[in-house]
Amino acid sequence: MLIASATGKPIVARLSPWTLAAWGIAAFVGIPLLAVLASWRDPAVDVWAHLWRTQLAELTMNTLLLVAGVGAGTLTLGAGLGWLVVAYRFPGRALFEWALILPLAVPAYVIGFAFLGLFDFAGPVQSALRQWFGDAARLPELRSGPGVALMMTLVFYPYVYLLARTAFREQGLATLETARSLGRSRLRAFFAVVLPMARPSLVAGASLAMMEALADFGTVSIFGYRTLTEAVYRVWNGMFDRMAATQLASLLLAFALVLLLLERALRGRRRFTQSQRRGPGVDPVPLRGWPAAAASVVCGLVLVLAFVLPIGQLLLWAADVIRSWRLSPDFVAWLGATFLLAGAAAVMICVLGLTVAYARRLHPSPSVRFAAQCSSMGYALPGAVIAVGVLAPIAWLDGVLGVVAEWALGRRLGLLLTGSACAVLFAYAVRFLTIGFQTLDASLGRIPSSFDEAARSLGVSVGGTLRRIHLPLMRGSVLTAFILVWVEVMKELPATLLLRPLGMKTLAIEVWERTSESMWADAAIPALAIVAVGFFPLFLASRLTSDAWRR
Amino acid sequence: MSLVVLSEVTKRFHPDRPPAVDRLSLAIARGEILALLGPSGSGKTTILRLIAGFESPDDGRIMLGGRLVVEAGHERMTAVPPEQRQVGIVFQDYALFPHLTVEANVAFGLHALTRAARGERIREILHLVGLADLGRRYPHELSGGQQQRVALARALAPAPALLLLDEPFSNLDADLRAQMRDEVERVLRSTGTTAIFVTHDQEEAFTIADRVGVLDRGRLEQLGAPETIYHEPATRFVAEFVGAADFLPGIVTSEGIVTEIGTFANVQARAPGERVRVMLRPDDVTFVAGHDGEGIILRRDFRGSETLYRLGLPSGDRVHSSQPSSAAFTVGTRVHLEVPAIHVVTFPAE
Repeated sequence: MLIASATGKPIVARLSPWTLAAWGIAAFVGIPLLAVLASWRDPAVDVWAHLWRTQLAELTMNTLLLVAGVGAGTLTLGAGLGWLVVAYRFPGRALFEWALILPLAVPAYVIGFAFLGLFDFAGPVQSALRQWFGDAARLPELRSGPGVALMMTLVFYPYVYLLARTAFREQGLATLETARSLGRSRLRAFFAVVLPMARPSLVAGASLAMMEALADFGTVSIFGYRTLTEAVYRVWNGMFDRMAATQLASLLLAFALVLLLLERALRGRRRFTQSQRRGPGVDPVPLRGWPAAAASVVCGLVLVLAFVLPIGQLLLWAADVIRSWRLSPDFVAWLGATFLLAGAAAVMICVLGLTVAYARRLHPSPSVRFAAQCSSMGYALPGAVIAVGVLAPIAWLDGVLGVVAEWALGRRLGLLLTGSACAVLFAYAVRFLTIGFQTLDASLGRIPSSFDEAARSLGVSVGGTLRRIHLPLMRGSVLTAFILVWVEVMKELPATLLLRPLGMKTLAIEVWERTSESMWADAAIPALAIVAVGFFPLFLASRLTSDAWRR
Repeated sequence: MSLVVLSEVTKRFHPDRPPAVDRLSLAIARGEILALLGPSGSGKTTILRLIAGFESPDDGRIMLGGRLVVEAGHERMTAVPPEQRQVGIVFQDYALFPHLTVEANVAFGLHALTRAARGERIREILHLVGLADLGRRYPHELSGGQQQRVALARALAPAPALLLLDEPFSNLDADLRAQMRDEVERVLRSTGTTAIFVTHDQEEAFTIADRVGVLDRGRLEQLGAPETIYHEPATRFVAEFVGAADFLPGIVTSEGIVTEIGTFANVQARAPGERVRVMLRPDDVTFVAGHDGEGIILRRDFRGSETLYRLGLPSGDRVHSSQPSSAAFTVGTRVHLEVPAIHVVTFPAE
């Protein structure tokens, strides 16, 4: 095979192990996607007919409504809170400014089940209402479309809030003052200038939130709300029809792609308008009297609903479990299994991410850049899609291995890979490689290329340069990438649930199993363990922003 | 025998754009210091990167110390990777490794030596650059000049056959620059190192280098001693890039080259009747005041020890003259121009 490069020379002459590795990793990430698409070669007609008659319309509508609701909700809440915190001064602002990010540390399904426990018919809130106002007193049903959308809005608004806050701040005083010097009031200037200028950030934040809502499995299944993600699992586990599950997953995939394209289109051409300019920040205007109180109350209410209340409820349940000696003796084993699985995934992803990032640094050819892009597309794929996409190739490989083993050893080995952690690690790699790659790539990018050249000219090879120059300089970022992936893997539910080795239980799975039996209190301690771990990235983020590059 | 030989080397980064280095041939003798001088984008840094092995040529070949290190079209057989070329480099940004001390930076290229020999070499080389007692510091604890010395020490420590310096003084302020220039030249001469350095500063090139190569758009316009480059530029580009110059129209006659301000010897033996431009450096042109003079002072720029005058001629052409500041003439003074014809350089009129 001869591939000609731009200058007409055969590329083969420049093939390095790094390039090959980057291509290999890109192919590895692409396999599940191709497997999902390939399922259409053999459509499961009867299942589709059944679904069409029964649920397909409902599933699609439900999914669309949920995603739209979460998009609108997070946009309103995130942008509103962001502007409040950036533009005004009111009691508690300093606290709210960082505390409003906290819900990000809590997986949606955890907040979800805490809420169900709190506001369910049998929960403390409704019981109290009935006591005060008689048996007719009811709250609107939480296990409904609006209920789920509200729940996810409370969990995912920080994506919009974070990006909006940065965008509002970086546009600086100048924009706002220009608008006001042209006769706009502060509020009208916000709608006329600040909001449109922040559009790319807002769209990016909202689409992250919508992506999460689309991929969410835990919350919708606890709330009994039927979406496509949930259906993939149900068809798989209930009907044991992998082909149909895979084809449903491809429908989900189509939704994810539409979201992605929508984001690109809405973000517009002004992709980089905000990153470069950095004027003086917007000077917050002090609020007095009623407006000040209202601002504090709004921020406080969101924080209480999205964080204080659910975490408080979890703590109460946990205390109850501990007092009555009901903590499962297996808890330590689950903790160990979770840490081990997440640790293994994080190490693997850091190695893969570093390989791709380094290949791109050494050989920034179009093919390697494309490989890097392919390797980081997993963030757009819902965990359920990846899970079904991983299983087909793994099962095939198992078959091949079985034949080889039988021929070489003369006996059957059974399903080596499917039953082991290989499948779930494969899925994690596809899903979270983006996080590892982008963290390490950014860090590598901050190291001047003259360092590489200096090392090479002093007689040190490519590998030696990585070991003696880049890795020592990237130490902090490698740790960051490791922790970010580690935490994400711990929280991950759908792929873990579908692909875990037989008999293996992680914290997330324990939470899901207990909550699907409505045993809220028993899920509290594992949930709190996940939440505690989830604080690491927030802590890292706040530390990294103040950390300057030492030279 | 030449240490470095480039034969017909071409490098293009983009198929649709002119090459960054265009059929460049160059030979450098052992112990020689060569400056590559040219505006930004003239390909001078690319030449260094080709010699160091960070880029590979699209055409031509490069030999180092009699060994073929790369030949276009045969990279797989010939290309010697940078780490095996024994070429030291001093980078524009120094590229000191921030996580290593000065000693560890200098030791970085000394992996072939024993521990004792390495320590000895580090001491020796740090002493040479005058940093004997700063070995334990980290780069960020050093001043700009000290960082420059560490970069030089690190590049020289493995005793490379060839040293490349990429705009080595551009990050220093003016007075430090002159000092480091002398220092670097002293170190290079005392170690007998062959060096190529790249600069856009002609003064830098002239003071350090044995020979200067002037580059324009990837082509070597002229290669020669600094005096030759300045006084006998081979092309109009060299004449304009190296020092200030005016180009006065003239016509070749049997008497010589006749211009508005006098007749010059036809040293280049141009054909009679040819229209040419005569190059005049400001330091070649003098004048005396006289109310019937053909020129008039249009502008006066005081530059300290000397003053630059812009003189208008009857035809409307302008000529510059640099005079000691001891005498001052006011704008509007009429003057007689005098041009002692030491170096007469002419170019065809376009």
